[in-house]
This record gives sequence, C-alpha cells and structure tokens, in this order.
Amino acid sequence: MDWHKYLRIATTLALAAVLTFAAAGEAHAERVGCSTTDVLTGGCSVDASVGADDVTLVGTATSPGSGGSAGKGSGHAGARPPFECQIFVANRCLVRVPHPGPAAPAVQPITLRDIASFRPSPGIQFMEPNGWVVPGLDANFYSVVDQQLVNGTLLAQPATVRFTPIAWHWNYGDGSAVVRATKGATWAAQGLQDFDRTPTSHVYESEGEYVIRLTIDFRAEYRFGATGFIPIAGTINLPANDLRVTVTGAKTVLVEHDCVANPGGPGC
Amino acid sequence: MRISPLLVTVALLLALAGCVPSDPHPSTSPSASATPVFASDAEALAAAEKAYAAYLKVSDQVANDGGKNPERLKSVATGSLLSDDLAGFASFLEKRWHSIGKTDLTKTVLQSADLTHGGEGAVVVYICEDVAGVDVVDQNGASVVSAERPELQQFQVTFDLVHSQLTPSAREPWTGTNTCG
Repeated sequence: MDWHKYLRIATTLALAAVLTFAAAGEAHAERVGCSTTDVLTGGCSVDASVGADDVTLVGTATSPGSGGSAGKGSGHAGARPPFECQIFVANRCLVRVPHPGPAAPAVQPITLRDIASFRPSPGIQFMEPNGWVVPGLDANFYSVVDQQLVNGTLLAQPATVRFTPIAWHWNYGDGSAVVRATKGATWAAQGLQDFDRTPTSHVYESEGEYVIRLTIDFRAEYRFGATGFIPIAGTINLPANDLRVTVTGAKTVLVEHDCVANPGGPGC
Repeated sequence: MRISPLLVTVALLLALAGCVPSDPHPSTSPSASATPVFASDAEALAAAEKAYAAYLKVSDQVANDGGKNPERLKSVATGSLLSDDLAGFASFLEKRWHSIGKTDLTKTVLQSADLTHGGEGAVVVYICEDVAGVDVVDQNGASVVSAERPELQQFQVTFDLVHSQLTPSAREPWTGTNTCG
C-alpha cells in the first residue's frame, strides 16, 4: 500500500539524518550567547541572510572569547578568533566548532525530510447526513483535525514539531474537487438547519455511489527546547479516511399518520 | 562500517511503531488547570521589558566599572546570559577596559509566552538595543569598539519564569524579523 511505502521511506530518511548528525560532531555542542561586553564592543554579530522561503541560515559568528586567556589577539574587539558554526538554524548556532577543520561537514537546512519521523495524526472526515445524500440538497462534510505537537529527536537534539492543518482538499467522487480553508463543522455546531449550505458542503446532482477523498495539508514548525517555533518550508499532505455515499432520490408523498408508528398506513 | 540488515529492520520497526497514530481522534485541547502567572501576553511582555531593563541597568553599571563586582548581575540575570556576562566582564577586568554611557532598550516584540507552565524559557522576546551612546575604552582612554559594531542590535532574549519572577537567561543574535526597524 502506498501509505506504508511512503512511511517506510520517510522513516529511513529520518533515521539516516539523525544518525548522520549524531556522528557529525557532538563533542563541542555549545550555544551562542551574546555577553554584554560583546554587545558593547561589537563582537556579537551574525553574518547571515534570510531568503523569502528559507528560514535556515548558514553563517559564522564571532566568538565571545574565553574570558580568562591573556594576550589573545591584538586587544581589539574585532580581532578575536572566529569559530565555525557547524549547525546554524535560524540565527541560532546549535553546534559550533572551536577549531574549524577543512573537512567540516556541510550545514544542512531543516527540511520536511528531517522531520519525517515526526508524524501528525491524519484527520478524520465525517458527513451529514451520514452515508446518504439527496440529489440537489447540500451534504455537509467536515473533519476532525487539530494543531498537534509531536516530540522527538531532530539533529540529535530533543525537539518539538508543531503541525497545523491549513488546507483541506476534498474530492467528492463525482468529478468535482475543491480546496477549502476550513475543516468544517456539523450543522448543529454552526447553528444551521439540516441540508443548509456550509463552507464545506457539497451538492450532488446525480444519483449513484460515490467515494469522497480528503487530503489535509499541514504546515510544520520546529523548535529546540523552549525557543520559539521556526517554520519549515513546504507542507505535508496527509490523506484522511475515505467516505462512501449513496446519492438517492427522495420523493414527497402524502401519507396518513406517522409511517413509523403505523407502517401499514395509507401512503406508507 | 557494515550495519546488519537485522539491526536496520529492528530500527525501522521501532520507528514505525512510533509513527502509527494510536488515537484516531486527536485530542482537541490540552487541559489547562494551573493558574497563569500572567493574565495576557501583554502582561508577560511588560514584565519581560521590566526585567530586561533592570538587567541592562546593572550590566551597564558593571561595564562602566570595568567589570568589577560582576556578581551584581546575579540578581537580574541567570543561565547562559549570566555565565556569558561573567566571562566577558572577567575579560574586561583583565584588559582594563571599561564602558562609558548606557544601553537603551528601544523596542520589544513578544515571540512566545507560556503563561501556564512557566519555567525555563517561558517567555521569549525579540529585543532591540541601542548602543550608540556607549563607548568602550582601554586604560589609555582609546576606544576599542569595533568599526563593524551596529548601533542598533537585535536579539532573541529568553526569560525564565521562576516563583512568578521573570529573569533573562539567554541572549542570542537575531537577524530574522526586523525588530529595530
């Protein structure tokens, strides 16, 4: 099945990424902070640029100096020895190397592939009326899906990925497909009457059996520890469950009494 | 290095087991039982601004004094911010440098605030500092400020929330959203 295949590939890639970074160089993991003395002398600057869709920055920062060592440099703030930032994620140097070697591994941006081991729960779709529809009347489709926080390991560090559903691709099985910006809700929850039009309702014109497929796009953001969430370019598209519906005509007939109470009554 | 296929299979199975959603209905809202320390984001930001202004005041004083008595910072800073400052001021003292003037806090933008749980990194704020009014000089009175020093500097500052008290704990350069502009 396609889903399992995708999952397996994604997991393999994620494992490979984690293993690669675990082996890359853990020895000198250190965060870059700006001391007051650096701020005042100009030694706390970041050399990086931001692209429109790219939140991952690569650059070097000036070392804040190791405090106790005498006679290092010329005595001018700008002459401090630089360090290489090995993993630089959105302005934060997560792993820096005090003595950069020529064979330092390339810096990797965080991509959807890196977070493949973080899986959001796919959404679930429902419909009203459940399983049957009258041609020409609105059927209300909605999904149960929410923002999710998933904890795991990213670049060999504990991380949290936040998945936010942003788009709902509904294929109604009758040749029509739409993209909605809302997950929808029940008629009751929207204060509407049955068969009312909703932002996620659909009208079937012809009788028949249809399969409704829903795919939900999620935006992903990650964070290490208690920092703010950093967006990752692109979206993750997860299929929800399929729905099957029978579209069948309803005829209005005049009956005497209630057909439920008296099934044998005239017209029933 | 050769990794046995069995090992890979086991690793994949373990990973897959962690991937399959166990609960088809994702929970809609986490229960919030603890009482928030701050009623709103605005309140959290105001508290962070106050804590940071207090920190800047003391760090400027220590810098003005050439790094003497840096333990004064312990009441206004914690974590890596404190340890970075202590190391930096030890270096100031050794080189006999000191600063003249004071740093201005010009702008703050709240990045995130965990008002319920508190703890380390409960509040993160983008902060713009203006160091135009500060010079750093050596014992001969010659400026040692880098020609590259920007007058306005943006940082991402992390605050810890302990016993209802916000204290800055980390300051990192921030080149993302323009806070100073």
